[in-house]
Amino acid sequence: MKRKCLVILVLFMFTHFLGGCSNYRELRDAVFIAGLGIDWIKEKKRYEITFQAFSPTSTAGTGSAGAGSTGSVLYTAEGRTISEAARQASKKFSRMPDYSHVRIVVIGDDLAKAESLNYIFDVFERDANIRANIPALIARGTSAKEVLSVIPATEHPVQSINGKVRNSSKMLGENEATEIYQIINQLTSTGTEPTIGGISVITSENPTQPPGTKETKLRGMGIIKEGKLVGWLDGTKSKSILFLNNQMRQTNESINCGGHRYTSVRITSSKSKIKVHMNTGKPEITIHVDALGIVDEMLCNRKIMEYDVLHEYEKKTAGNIAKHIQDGINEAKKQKSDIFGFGDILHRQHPEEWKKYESRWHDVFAKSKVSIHVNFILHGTSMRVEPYPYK
Amino acid sequence: MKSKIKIGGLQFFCLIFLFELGSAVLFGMAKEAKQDAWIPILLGIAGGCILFSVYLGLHKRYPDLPLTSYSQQILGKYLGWVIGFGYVVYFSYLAARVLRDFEELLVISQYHNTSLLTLGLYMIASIIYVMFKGFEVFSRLSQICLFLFLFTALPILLLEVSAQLLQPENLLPLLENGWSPVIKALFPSTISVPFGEMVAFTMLLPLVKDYKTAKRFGYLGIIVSGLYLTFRTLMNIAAIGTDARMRSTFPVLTEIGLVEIGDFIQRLDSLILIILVILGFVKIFIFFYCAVLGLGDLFKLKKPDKMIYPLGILIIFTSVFIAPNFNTHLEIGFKIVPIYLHLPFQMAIPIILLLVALIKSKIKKSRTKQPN
Amino acid sequence: MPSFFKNKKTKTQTTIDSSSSKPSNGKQDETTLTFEIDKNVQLIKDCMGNPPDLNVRKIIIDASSDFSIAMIRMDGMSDKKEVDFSVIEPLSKLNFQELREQLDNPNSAEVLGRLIAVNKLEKMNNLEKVVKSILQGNTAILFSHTQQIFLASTRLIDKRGLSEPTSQTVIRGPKDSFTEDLRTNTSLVRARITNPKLRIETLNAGEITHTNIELMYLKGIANDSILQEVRSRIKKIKIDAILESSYIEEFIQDSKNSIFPTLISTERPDVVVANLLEGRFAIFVYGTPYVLIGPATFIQFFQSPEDYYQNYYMGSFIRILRFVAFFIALYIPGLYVAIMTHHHALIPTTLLITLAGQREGVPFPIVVEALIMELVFEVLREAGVRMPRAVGQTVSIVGALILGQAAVEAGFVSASTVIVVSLTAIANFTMPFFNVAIAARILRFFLLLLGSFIGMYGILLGTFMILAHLCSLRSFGLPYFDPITPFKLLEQKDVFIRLPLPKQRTRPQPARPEQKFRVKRGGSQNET
Repeated sequence: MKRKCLVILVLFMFTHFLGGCSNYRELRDAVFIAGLGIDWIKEKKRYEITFQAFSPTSTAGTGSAGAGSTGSVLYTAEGRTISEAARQASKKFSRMPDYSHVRIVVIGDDLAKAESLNYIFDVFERDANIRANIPALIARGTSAKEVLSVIPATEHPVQSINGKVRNSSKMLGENEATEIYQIINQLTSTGTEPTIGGISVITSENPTQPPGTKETKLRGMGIIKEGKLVGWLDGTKSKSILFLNNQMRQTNESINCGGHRYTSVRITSSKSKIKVHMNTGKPEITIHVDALGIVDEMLCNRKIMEYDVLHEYEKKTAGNIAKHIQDGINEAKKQKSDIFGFGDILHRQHPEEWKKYESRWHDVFAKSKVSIHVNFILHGTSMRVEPYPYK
Repeated sequence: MKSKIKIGGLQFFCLIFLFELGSAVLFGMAKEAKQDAWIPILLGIAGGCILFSVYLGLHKRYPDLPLTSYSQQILGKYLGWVIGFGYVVYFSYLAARVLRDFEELLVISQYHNTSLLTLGLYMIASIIYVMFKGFEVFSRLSQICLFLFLFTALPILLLEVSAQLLQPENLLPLLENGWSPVIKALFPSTISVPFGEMVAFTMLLPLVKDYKTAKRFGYLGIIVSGLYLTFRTLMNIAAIGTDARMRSTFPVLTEIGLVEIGDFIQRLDSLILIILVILGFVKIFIFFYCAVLGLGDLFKLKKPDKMIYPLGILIIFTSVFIAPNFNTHLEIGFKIVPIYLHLPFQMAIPIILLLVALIKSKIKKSRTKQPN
Repeated sequence: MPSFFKNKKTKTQTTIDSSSSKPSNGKQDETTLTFEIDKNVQLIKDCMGNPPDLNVRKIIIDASSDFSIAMIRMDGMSDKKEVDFSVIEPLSKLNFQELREQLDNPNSAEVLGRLIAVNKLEKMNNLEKVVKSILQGNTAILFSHTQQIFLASTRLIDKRGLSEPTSQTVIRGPKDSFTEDLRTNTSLVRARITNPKLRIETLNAGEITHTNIELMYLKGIANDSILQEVRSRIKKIKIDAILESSYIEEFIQDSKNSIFPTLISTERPDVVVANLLEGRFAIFVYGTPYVLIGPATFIQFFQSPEDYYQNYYMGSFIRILRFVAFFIALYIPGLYVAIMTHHHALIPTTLLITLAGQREGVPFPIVVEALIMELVFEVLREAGVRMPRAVGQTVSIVGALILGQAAVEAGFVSASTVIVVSLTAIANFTMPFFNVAIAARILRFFLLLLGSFIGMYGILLGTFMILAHLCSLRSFGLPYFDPITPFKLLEQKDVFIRLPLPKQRTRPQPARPEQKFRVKRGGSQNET
């Protein structure tokens, strides 16, 4: 009796297989989307979605492994919601799209400026398939479709963009990869606003490429205010974000040492502490940055062995860092957008004060008084002490 | 199901630990207390211990009987029987609820095209298989489950730390809105789920080796699982922040989904499903088994095993038809069940039973004393 | 017993069947020995159906008084030389009178024993016993005018010499293994334990074959109640023939329907010795080099003797590796199919592209492909065992080239499936005892199907079922999963890792040995 019933149960299990309501899907029945581009078509008031997919190329029968076969296929579709567009795209896909490997989301310039960013991220949270920890970028001065259409010679376009973002944030410290869940958190929080990296399409200057070849390049960090792109932090200003968020891994500072000669200092680590308190309706922001670094290139004859010279460099570097931060904050104040999350810090440090200013924090922030203290220590000069004597 | 099953202390501890974590880890507890959600859980441990002492007190008076039996002895045959039957229904309903929770978890996170019924069938089929092997086998299995749990949970914890996901400042400010949201979160929801659900163990306590073991490892289980839940909640808030936690259906999945180290270690949320299914398995099994035991006891069945198939099928279908959609299911779970089901079955009835039993024994004592 | 014997016996005579015929001594019928030598010889011949390998030698000592001697033995089962030199020669040298006198002596066996130089000389007058004894290789000596028959033990069966173990090899460690001969086997163990506490009990099973079975244990260490249980279980065996120890295993194991072995079978004497010392018993069966050891635990199937012969770091490492290999053998095909069909998200992107490329243009669904490849491998393996040695090369070339490389190149199967299947196959061979690998081989298909139906969820639930099954198993009443569940911290010294031997002062408890400590406490460990 016991066994018979178990058999029945097992048969029962098979029924679902026959019924077809199964998640069984072969790899060759799926197309894997690598990058999503979201644009806003003003006239139609619709989203235009660009799908940059991995193109599956058959390697069976050739005897060789499939490594390196990273062809790309581009599709576009329109819809009033992103999901609708995705469903519409099935007219163009020959296979089921699989979004679990989306690596990057590019947002069109128009969408970021004119339409709000507030609504487009919901699907990334709600759908368990798409991940929320993928970086988002704004197609600066162009559309997402354009950005995703640029096909590099060697890599898959998405891998190429992804690599650039990662590289730049690691090496230069000017572009942070803001991930979607962070953007959502910052959008929802009243005390902070998101910044999203920008990417634009340029004409390649590489002489080995045929003339007119396009390539993508990261450009600045977009300042978002209430869901809309209001301005850009460019160049060294954008370092302020990484310095203040303690995300700075490496960057370098060029220190003038007379004339047009510079010395390069590599900053290897940095730590910041921020205090915010209200003083008669004005926020007072105190920033302490402790940074370490080494000299990695010296283009002037200075006796760096001497304490005074060393100290001078330290002071100049600290000044540079402070200036980047100051510039960044000034830009944010100009746009009345608290991209550094000072509001959240006030919330944590002085919850009662925060309640008073929460509703009009943007205006209050614009009036804030900032004092920056940077403490920089040079802890080495790499393989050489003194430069070879320049003549 | 042999009549002489004796569970050792360690196995009893494993059962309680996994049982307590069950759906509590899944849904994220005390969401209404925002960043202080860990405080009600920490306080809930005390509440859980008090409730457990009530259950233990009853167990001490009737060491060989499950709740369905001694309710008849305390409150008389008919009222006691009705209450016992109420508990059977309660346990079956909870089993179905937990099953639904996990079906929905699987559907939402992985199996978008699979029906609830199918997923429930697989779960119940494997539970039935284990149940026929007996409770002793299950309690041993739970021990292995604990190892499996630790072997999966600890690496994930380490990965989470090394992915620099945790932002402790998310936990601040402390007690922003005072104690009232904390207290609201504590009672009745946090006390009843998971701590009050220990009422299921009133059916299982007679299977434990002796009273001392039950007492020692019971409290230990509650405290350790409570501390783990507190820790888990702290991690959860630190990783995803209060807002995302409030919004997400399964905060723990959201949290683990963010872990990404290099290109290789990612999408761990599929991995954590393993842990969650282990927990769900244990929890559903225990409620299901208590219902089977209760039925066997109430109807004086010589072989309660016979009830496993009908009850199992009942639980599958209840789990599917319990609510039209997941939101209603959650709404019932958070608004109606704690007040109309958990409160009487976890707190009121056991306390009344204990009081009546105390008074009865007092009366008995005074009667036996008087003639002397 | 050799099979020719079985066939002949069952056809010609049924009186040998000890349970069915009860010899009646007083009655004068065809099965009772007489005082006439020729009649007796004929009786014995008839009893066995006059087989060609029955050797009868008759010597007429004194023709006048019609006194003669007959020697009956089975050719090929007895030692011809010994019969010639130790039986025939002394008897033929004696003169007739002396012999008469001695035969009339009431303790004639003892007297005759002085003459006949064999190990053992017995006196019998029961036809049935005599026949049985002849069939075992003894020589029956019949004299005229007496009902008494003397049986000289001259048993000698050609047997294989000691050779290296074929299925359980080690790099460092003893290289001898059991043979088909029971006495040789027990002697191999005895040589290793020269202690009077090593006890051997003879039991019998097989209604027709009368196979010798010997139960070996260390008195004072093996648990008495378990031994009692073993004896009674072996006595209860009802079967006509026992050709291998697995026959006994199937009868005495606790759970008849389990896929997991609950008794160890080994061809290594050192494994038997180690287990005897842990309080287990060993069952030797005539005719097979595989000795049964019980009660067994699941962990034991992962313990190779070599773990103890090598450095304990290496021993522990290899042990863990073996568990990993078991996991691979059991799970990898299932997980592979589950991930490839249900959990695409789990595959790292670069790997996914590679895999997707491989899957393009492959005709079968991945489940079918995996099933086919698994089955093909099983066929190859079976062929590898059964095939004649001479064609071995051919089969391996066909297997490796055609089924592996050519199938991938032709686009029949994807390369990843071939990798997975071969990984599983190799992992399966790391088990020191092949019968636990068999469990993995079969359960693999169960998990593969579950994985294809419903992905990792199914595999996880399948795991619960397997684990619950393992937890419910018992070997001679003792939990099979000991000491993992019920968990005992102190018993973990020899489970996943092997602690150095000086640290393992207590015997492992799963077999409930009577003596807890290997060496007396405060014993001579430090004195030397």
